[in-house]
Amino acid sequence: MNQMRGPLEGKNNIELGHEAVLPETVDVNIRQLDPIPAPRSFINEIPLGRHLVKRVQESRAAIRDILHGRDDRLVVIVGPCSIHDPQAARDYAQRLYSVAKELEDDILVVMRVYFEKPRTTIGWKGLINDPDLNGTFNIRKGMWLARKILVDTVEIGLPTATEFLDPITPQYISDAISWGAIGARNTESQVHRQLASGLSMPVGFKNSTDGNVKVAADSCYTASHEHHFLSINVDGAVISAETLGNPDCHVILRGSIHGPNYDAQSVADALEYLQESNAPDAASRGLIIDAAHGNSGKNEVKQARVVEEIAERIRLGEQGISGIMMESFIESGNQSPAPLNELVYGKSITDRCISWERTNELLHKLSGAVRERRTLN
Amino acid sequence: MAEVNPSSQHMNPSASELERDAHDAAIRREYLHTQIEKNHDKNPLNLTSVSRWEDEVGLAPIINRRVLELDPLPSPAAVLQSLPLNDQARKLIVESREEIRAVLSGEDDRLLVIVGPCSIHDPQAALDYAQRLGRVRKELEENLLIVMRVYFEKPRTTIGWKGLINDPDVDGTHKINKGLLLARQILLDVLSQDIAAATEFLEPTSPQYISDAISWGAIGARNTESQVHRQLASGLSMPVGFKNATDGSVSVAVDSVITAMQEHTFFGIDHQGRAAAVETLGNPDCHVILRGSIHGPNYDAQSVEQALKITHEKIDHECIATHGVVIDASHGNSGKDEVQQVRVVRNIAQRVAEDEPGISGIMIESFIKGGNQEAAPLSQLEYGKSITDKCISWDDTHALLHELSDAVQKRRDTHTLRS
Repeated sequence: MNQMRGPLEGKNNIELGHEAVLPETVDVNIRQLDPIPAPRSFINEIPLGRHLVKRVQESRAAIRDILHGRDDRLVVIVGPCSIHDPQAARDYAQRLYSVAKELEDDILVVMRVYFEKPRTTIGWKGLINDPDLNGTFNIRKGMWLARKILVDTVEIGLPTATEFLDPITPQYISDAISWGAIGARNTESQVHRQLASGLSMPVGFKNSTDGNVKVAADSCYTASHEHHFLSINVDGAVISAETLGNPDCHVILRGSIHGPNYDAQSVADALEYLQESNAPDAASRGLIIDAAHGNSGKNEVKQARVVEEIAERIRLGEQGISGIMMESFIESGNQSPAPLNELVYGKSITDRCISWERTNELLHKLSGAVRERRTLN
Repeated sequence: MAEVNPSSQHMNPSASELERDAHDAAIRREYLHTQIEKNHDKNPLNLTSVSRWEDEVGLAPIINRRVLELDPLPSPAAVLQSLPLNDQARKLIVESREEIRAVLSGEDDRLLVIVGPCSIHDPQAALDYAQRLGRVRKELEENLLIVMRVYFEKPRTTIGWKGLINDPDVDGTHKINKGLLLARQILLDVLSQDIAAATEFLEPTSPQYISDAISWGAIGARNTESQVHRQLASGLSMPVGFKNATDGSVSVAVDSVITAMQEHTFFGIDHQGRAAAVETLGNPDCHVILRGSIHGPNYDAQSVEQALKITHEKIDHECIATHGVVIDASHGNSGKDEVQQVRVVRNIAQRVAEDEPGISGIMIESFIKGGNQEAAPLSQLEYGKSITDKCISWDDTHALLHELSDAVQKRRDTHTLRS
């Protein structure tokens, strides 16, 4: 790893900057600013080989085709709520790949490889932020691990999906990602719309935590435009970025504090709204439904039933559902975060997930539903 | 000592250098846009005749297909050195932050008044307004702690002019280089009028360039639930207000206050302008701002009481957040109508005079002329009139500030009588 040791050492020192003469009005509440190696060094150290680049490009194109109605398959974004164990992630990816290959005529499986968790207030923020799960916040290690896991997953044969939370992280990992999400707490945020406008893969905007679809629709519209803003470049320096706009943004229904919104009426209402709004094509053709979060009250048994219900509706020919999101891992349920050696293998340390066996069943159900829907035409 | 990447060193760029850089960038952009049009291909991903910087540096052609231009910016250290705070400004900022803390915690019985244009678009008008406000600040300093709104970053509902830093020439040329320096210069000019500055923090990278000159910060309604902004607030050196969400939720604003009071570690940039892991200590001086919602205003007494009730339920110790809220008389609280805004301010003044508890401060959008006009380059604009939200005119503002001052005096007299 690039030996860029920060100039500031010792967790207990309150530092206010180094060579620059900074006034005492700056950094009163900052303990340390520790440089992280630039994206270029991570990308060079863990490159995405040509053959893998091709896979990412093809999967992005396939997702685009589904969103724009040129491919009648269902996008299924499935995997752990968050990644905390590289070995379990690999294990899960291998299981998922064999099923994905089997069902590829009917569903396009994308693995959730989530590294950044937005919390309601505080809590473990994900692998990049605290890879050792013990409050040591070794971000350099976390970023390295995250990129390694992503590239390995693409190597195994699966396209990857992630939530983009922090605006700097994409520079380190987005070349390996085929689909991105902007979470409910960030769906109205200009910073995140700008970010989406410059991302090279389709991006879904979740409805806001109060259930509002309008702001997600506005986000799709906004992100399809050019934007200018401060960002960092591949050498990790501050730059002014200009983006071309992302025409493949769409809405995700994920329930709200008022209850679920995965039912047929909510889907129809949302689509009607989107078609009348100025949201771009991909957004007005179909939605993605997140079976977890507000749509199942964070209960994995309910989540599985929600997926079955949606599969049934698809089987009967319901239109407007481009894809579905599921939180799934090896073991069902969840456990409290702790260092790896204290944890049960293959079980989520954030939201409750559906077990692998049940997931396998559900994937076959979804695939069957798409096949039967085809016979209706 | 850590190495600085030579390509990112921009020590003390001169104004003419900046103009030249901006001009070159504009020519490059022009060429690229012509190439895109020529190819009649709306999908930039398939465009091969236009080389991206990534092709030049030999990276895989996948990462940044949609990012067209990446102009290097001066580091925060370079900007702070080329436009430093003088002793008067430094002293003013340290003292005003203390005063604001004291007012928000109730140690000081004055009212905090955060007043000024919705957004800054004209350096001359900004200084003009600062001079006027500076005089009134001095006159009414017994009763009011007046801080000027110096807002450079505008969150839009969808698209529109994003503020001085993003597009200082208001013509789509996006000279962010120039915008950063101009913004800082305007801040220094405001401070020279012996008045402290308040701003909204929107972009996570820009605070490094200006936050040393700011005495109070806001996180807007559209970002109040955002972890990125809560983390940012946890490392800021001044009191920060979180607006209620656009759906009216105060609960998420309180969650934000709680989150920002904690230590955080996250991705940011350092003073050399490089990606860095930032460790913060937490900001104990955060509070809630009531700004109305899509469902209507929330500046009334019941809403204030309810907001503080929620705050007390979630925060178990005394802090500035549990002491009171700041009320934004504009935005959702007056339907973006400056005439209504005046009425809202009067209403709040009345209630302060009647000693209603829980009102720590008020925010007012005000400029030299009332109302607003369409955004356009400076030469086409009417002087002293907002190009974003409608503002109250200076004359009306002057009258309102006196009313607020009288209200505080009346409240104080009531207390004196009691004791």
